[in-house]
Amino acid sequence: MEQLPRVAERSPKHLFHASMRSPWAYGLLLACLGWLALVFAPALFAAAGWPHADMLRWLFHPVCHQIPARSFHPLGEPLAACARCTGMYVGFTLGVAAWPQLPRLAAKLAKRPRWILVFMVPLFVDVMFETGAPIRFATGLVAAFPCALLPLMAIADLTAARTPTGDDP
Amino acid sequence: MMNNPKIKSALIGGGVFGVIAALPYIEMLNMLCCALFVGGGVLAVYFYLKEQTAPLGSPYGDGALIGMMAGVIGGIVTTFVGAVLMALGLAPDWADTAAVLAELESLGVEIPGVAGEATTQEHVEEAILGMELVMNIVMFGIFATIGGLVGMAIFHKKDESAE
Repeated sequence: MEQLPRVAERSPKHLFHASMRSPWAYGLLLACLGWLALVFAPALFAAAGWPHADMLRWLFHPVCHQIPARSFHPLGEPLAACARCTGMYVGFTLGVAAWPQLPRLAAKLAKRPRWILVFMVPLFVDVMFETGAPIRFATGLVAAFPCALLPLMAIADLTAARTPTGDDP
Repeated sequence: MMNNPKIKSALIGGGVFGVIAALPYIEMLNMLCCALFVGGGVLAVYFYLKEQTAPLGSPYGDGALIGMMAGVIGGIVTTFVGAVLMALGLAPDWADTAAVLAELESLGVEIPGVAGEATTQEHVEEAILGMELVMNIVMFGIFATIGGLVGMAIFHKKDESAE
């Protein structure tokens, strides 16, 4: 059986492969999908005439201004989060799903994790201007997609730390 | 407990940003991509790494843990500091908020329904405070965890020999 290198000796690629096998990675993806469902649910429930849809919307008030004019309106009702926040949540969820399928790219970004800040530049520029919802959504998505690699790396770290190396007593 | 560098850093990051997030008007910075919640995690990791001299075994695992602890502490701090400021009259209470919302509405600004409802009901302060506490702990916890990870990505100097 192939012996895994010790945690400190493992490259980001090794670590990342470990995270892909972890059920925690699937759990994270499920949590992200659940979060997205909460963003969309109030609009769908309100369109269906459910009277307490606003209670679900309230969940997001600490983290989003929720101004209807700055939100998407599927079925004529605003989402629980603004277009930029929705973009960030969608981008993060896509990242959690996609990074395990892109191991080479993930390993490159994991070697230079500060590059995630570059992807946030469009968002910070966009904040200073009055732009439309699609652009706010897009900049949020671009900013959050690379960030999704970080929790996967944390899972990889923790998975690797618990994996026996073979040279332990 | 204070000798544990992770807890110490989480207390600093969560405490500082918890207070900032409770300050009237400044709290609105959270509307900018949850900047204050994420900032609590980033600050906690910054202080943690400042005190660490030995290479970290699992940097991102530590970053997530420290961020989450900072978030829980920040959520508790921001709720109670907010409640104290409101009780002292240094922050807008529900009646003030309702008045501001009514004025905004008269200017043609569309107000989300739940915001209006929450400020027009009487005797809801205690219930809202309890819900705010849970909500702040959960939200601060989630976003500060991401902040801790981002902080680790920014400030962690990798041991190149391990590559």
